[in-house]
Amino acid sequence: MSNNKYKKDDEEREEIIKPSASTRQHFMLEGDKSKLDHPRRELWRWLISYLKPQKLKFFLFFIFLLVATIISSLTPIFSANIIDRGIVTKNTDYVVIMSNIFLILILIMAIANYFASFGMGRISQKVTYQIRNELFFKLQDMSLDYFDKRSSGQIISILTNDVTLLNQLVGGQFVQIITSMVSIGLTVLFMFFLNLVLALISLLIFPLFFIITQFFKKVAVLLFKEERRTVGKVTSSIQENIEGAKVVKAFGQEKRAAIEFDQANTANYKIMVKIRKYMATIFPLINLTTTIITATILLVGGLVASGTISLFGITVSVGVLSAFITILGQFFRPFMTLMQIQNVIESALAASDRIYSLLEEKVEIPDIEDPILLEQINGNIELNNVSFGYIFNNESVKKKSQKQKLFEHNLTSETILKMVKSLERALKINTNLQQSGGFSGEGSGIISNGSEKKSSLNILETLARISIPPEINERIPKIVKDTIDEQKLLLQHTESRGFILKNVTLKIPKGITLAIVGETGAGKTTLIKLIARFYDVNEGKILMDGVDILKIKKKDLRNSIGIVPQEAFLFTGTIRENILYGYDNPTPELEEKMIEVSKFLGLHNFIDALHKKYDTKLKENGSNISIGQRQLIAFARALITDPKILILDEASSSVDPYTESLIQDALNKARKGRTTIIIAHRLSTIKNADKIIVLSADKKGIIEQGDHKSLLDLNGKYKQLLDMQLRDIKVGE
Amino acid sequence: MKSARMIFKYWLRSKREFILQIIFLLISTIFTTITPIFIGRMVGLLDPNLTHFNIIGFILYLLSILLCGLLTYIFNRAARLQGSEVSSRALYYLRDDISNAIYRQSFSYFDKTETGQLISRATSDIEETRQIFGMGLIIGLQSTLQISGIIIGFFAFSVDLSIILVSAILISLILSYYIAKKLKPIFLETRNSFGDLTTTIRENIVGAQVVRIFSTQTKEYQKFRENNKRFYKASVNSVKYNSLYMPSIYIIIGVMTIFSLFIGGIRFINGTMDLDTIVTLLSYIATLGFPLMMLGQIMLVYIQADAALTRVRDILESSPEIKDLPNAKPISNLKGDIDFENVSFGYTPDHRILKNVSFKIPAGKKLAILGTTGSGKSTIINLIPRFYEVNEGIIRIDQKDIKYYLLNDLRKNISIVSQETFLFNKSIAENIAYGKQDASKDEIIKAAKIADLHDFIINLPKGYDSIVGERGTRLSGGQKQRLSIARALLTQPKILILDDSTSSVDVETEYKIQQALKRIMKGITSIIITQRISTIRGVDYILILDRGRIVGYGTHNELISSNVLYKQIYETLYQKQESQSRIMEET
Repeated sequence: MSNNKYKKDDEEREEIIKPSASTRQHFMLEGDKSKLDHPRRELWRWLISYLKPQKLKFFLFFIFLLVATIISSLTPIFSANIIDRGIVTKNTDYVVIMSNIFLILILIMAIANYFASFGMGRISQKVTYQIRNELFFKLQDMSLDYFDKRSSGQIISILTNDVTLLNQLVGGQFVQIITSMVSIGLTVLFMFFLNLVLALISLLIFPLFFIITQFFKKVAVLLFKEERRTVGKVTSSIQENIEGAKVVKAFGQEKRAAIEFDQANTANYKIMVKIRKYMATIFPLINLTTTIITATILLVGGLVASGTISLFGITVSVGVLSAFITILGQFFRPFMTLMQIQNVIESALAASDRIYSLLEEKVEIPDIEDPILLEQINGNIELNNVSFGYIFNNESVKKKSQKQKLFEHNLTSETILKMVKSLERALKINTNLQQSGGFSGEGSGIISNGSEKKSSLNILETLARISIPPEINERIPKIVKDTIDEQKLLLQHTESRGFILKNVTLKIPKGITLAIVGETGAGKTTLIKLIARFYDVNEGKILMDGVDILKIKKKDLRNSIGIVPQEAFLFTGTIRENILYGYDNPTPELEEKMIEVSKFLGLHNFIDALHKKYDTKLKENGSNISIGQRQLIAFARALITDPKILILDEASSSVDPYTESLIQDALNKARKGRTTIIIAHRLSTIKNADKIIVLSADKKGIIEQGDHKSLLDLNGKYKQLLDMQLRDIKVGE
Repeated sequence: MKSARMIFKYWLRSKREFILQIIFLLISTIFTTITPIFIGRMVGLLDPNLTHFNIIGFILYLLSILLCGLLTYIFNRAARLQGSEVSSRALYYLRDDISNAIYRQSFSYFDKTETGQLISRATSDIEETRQIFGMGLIIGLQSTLQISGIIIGFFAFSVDLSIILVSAILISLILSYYIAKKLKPIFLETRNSFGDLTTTIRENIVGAQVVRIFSTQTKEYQKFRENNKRFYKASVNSVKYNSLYMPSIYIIIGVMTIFSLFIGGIRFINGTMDLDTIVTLLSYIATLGFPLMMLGQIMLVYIQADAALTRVRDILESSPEIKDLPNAKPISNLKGDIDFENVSFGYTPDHRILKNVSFKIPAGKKLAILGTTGSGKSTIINLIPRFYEVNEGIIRIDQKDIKYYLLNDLRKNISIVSQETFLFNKSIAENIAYGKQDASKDEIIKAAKIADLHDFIINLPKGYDSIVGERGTRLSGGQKQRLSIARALLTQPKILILDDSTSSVDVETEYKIQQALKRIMKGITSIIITQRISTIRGVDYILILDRGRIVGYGTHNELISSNVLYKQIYETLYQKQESQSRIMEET
């Protein structure tokens, strides 16, 4: 059975590797020069601007590098010279003097090389350090809009991967490239200087190297792809059995898990051997080529030197021959480096492009010039005829979607399914496998990384844009569906079809509890974001205590609002640091307040029972405590600032009943005396609200409002929503 | 050094190929070593001081060079072919050993180690060993042999020059070692600081809203700058030492060249050395650079692999805490009497979750466990199948200490349905039959029917053969839970443990499952952790836990009249259920 499975996978693999011409065209596969948002010249100028403050140092190190490379290229000449003018001619003094000079030059070369490497390396690290700081600083200035439009992974990648890539270019690769270019250039020059004919013969080596590497590259690419696939299987096998370790042990299935893993392991082993055997030919072949060319040089050179043949009267000396032998032995490495130049530059430019775009983004809406200072905010909120939509603000996004629309209609069910499959595969294969370096043993320096990742992103975007027919929708695995949904939400922010809310008028008197309900995409979260001024309305006004919030200082506004978001996000650090997150310095009064709030929320007992109590360190995203407890901590964090307005985006995921009741109680206590706005999912929350509004995505606004009883009587959307919820609801909580 | 030994151990598992590889490399090295001699002789024939040109000798040497080149190619390639087996198998065996090590660990291991960490060790850490296993082997051997060949070659022609060469190489190796040693902690620091950097970046992006709500932008920026600075410093240090490599190699090559020219030249002039020899020595030097460089690179690769291998060794060397005692007996005809006597337990040595717990469940009876979060309910459940070992006290099944049963037998007789269901990426049928691979289709269907899953399954396009998806992502929470119940029931356990297992299921379905369970639970000892009134009413005994101690044990009637806490809990739950029903009625 397992053999069949692999066979079918093979067929599918063929499809992905050799897509049809039209798909290739649309998905920009294989060997495109990357399309950048900014002209290259501008990017280079920007990059160079970072070197400006260290201009002198950079030039100095650059000179060192040149000096080192020139001397290194000269060494064969030097040897040749000593042999011909000193040794062969039996001129002892010459030998002595030149040897000493040679020694000095070597020392200079070594020292220059060291300082050049170190110096340039340090400069490049400084540059990337600065760029990272700038990027981070910029991020803090940006409005939420920027973050909502993108997946966090994208942004993180810019600050981590892209900057690292850049560092490689300015630092390591740069030095290597210069060294290679200069040394090959000079060496070739010197070769011609030494002997024209021999130089020409030597240059034959390059096309031979090229042919060999190109020949192997083609097949190797396919093999590498296959290998990555098998590694993916190994990873998923062990991942699954580790995650389900307890189940494996509970059912005593350890042996079986081991056998399954062995199958994946063996498959990977087989292909790795295949690759290595295939590569086993390349380097020996390169060496053989070098030997053949060397032999040819010796032959021709020797015959001319001995006078056996005459070559346009050109002479060849022993020293020269010896020089050529040395040179030929060292050609391959710089050759490889030069082959990589295009790739290196392209990826560095692409990285700079993304970084530069981020730095160019507009920042958060600034406060107006003379903000009104409110002494105290009471929490009287009014929305007057408010309309809002997340709209196009990027030309390239517009263009892209038009292009997509063009072939949207030509996608058959088959193609869609293939796209789904390929996306599923891409999502499974982790790209945390390290790319092996360009060492001769592994040979992947010859092979460049494909544009696989890019094509997966294109596929994802297309799938998010088109409307997938229901028969196909059913067959899409959940992990792919979730990713597509995520993308859809992202698109909503970048390509909204107009307004999300239109002409919304609402009064929220101070102290009442308002519950907002509606289906996904109706604008519930949007409403809240507008009130907290994470976005500004497109039309209409929002008033706080009668004052237009546009006229109030953002800091003042947000200080009086406490928000408990849906996913209670906690930072790494202690529980104390998280609860007191809004404060810079902990004081004894704050400590007291913290305990007070914790007790108020029913959180204190749990924390007290912990080994380190408030000093307990939370792991990344607070994963060492339960979801319910995380929420309570987020609640405490919001409440400790004693806000007049409390906004709660209720988590819709399930929480253990006991903690859930704690949260309910906490909410009931906390909302007293505060204007509380809740995006509600729980019946009890909704029922207890003073006022309920129902939002609709179609109508772009409030379609029903009132309290629980009156809304039920309407027998409209509210009732519908409640019925749906009850069907999934848990009883007995 | 431990890692080096480990690497060799894995290479040597393919002894035959390893030895063949060395033999082939030796042969090819011989040819690479004699080639410069031919070159030297060949060029020597061109000495202008000679009177006539030995063209036949010249051609013969040329042909020898070509022959040597070809033979080098053949044997080099042959060596690499052998090496490909050695390298690939080494990785295969390492993976195999890790997987075995992981599966034999006890539960506590999986608690102590985050799954994320464990997964990364078993996957990406092992991937990091690829280069050392692969390139490290062939290049390492080749370079070493080549350098040895060069030394021998030098020795054959000039003893004193060879001494200089050996010294130079030794210095180079010592320097490389010194650099590697310096780099190791720096490498770790770079890694760690980059990890911290990434965490801060991630937090500020995912938590962007929170940062803006609390206006902590400046605070976060300061934190970031510190991390960034740390990374910067570590990186600069790394560059500082890394940059020493190439210059040192240049010096060695340069010095050797100069010495050869100088000493060789003087000797030639004095008549004590041929021109050939000088050319030969220079040819040797020309081929010295690459292997020296490669050895340096291998040391770098080794450092990285070393870090990974150290973590991996951790896993390989940890022995399972819980294993069969030497005189463990198999189980036959388990009745299902469970008895806890003075049991105390904590996951960490300094903190006890269960304190002196004693209670009995007669065979075939049902027990409900109530208590708040952290009271120890789930802990009790984990102790019965010996997923953890009690710190004090004894747990007996059928009057025998569970330590004396064979673990596998013990676990085959106990089935657990836990709160979070984990399913494998296999078919529904395979998942249901997970505990009994040779289960018949009928058995599977029977279990599915009890869990009220059968109708849903046969309506799927592929029915029981439908693939469940990674972690069961293609099923809803309720369906997963029901599948987990079916899976637990299929093995026909004598003891059934349900950990709040109908929490994701709606009222109707829950009722159906409860009815079905009632039927099969006759004769099975069941332990249920629950918050549902209906469930509590249906059991024989109730156990109440508070912070690790038993604060109540008995039947519902006994407790409701005598136990204040139970009364409180019962009433709370009852009220909640009532209010929920009321809301339902109103709509």
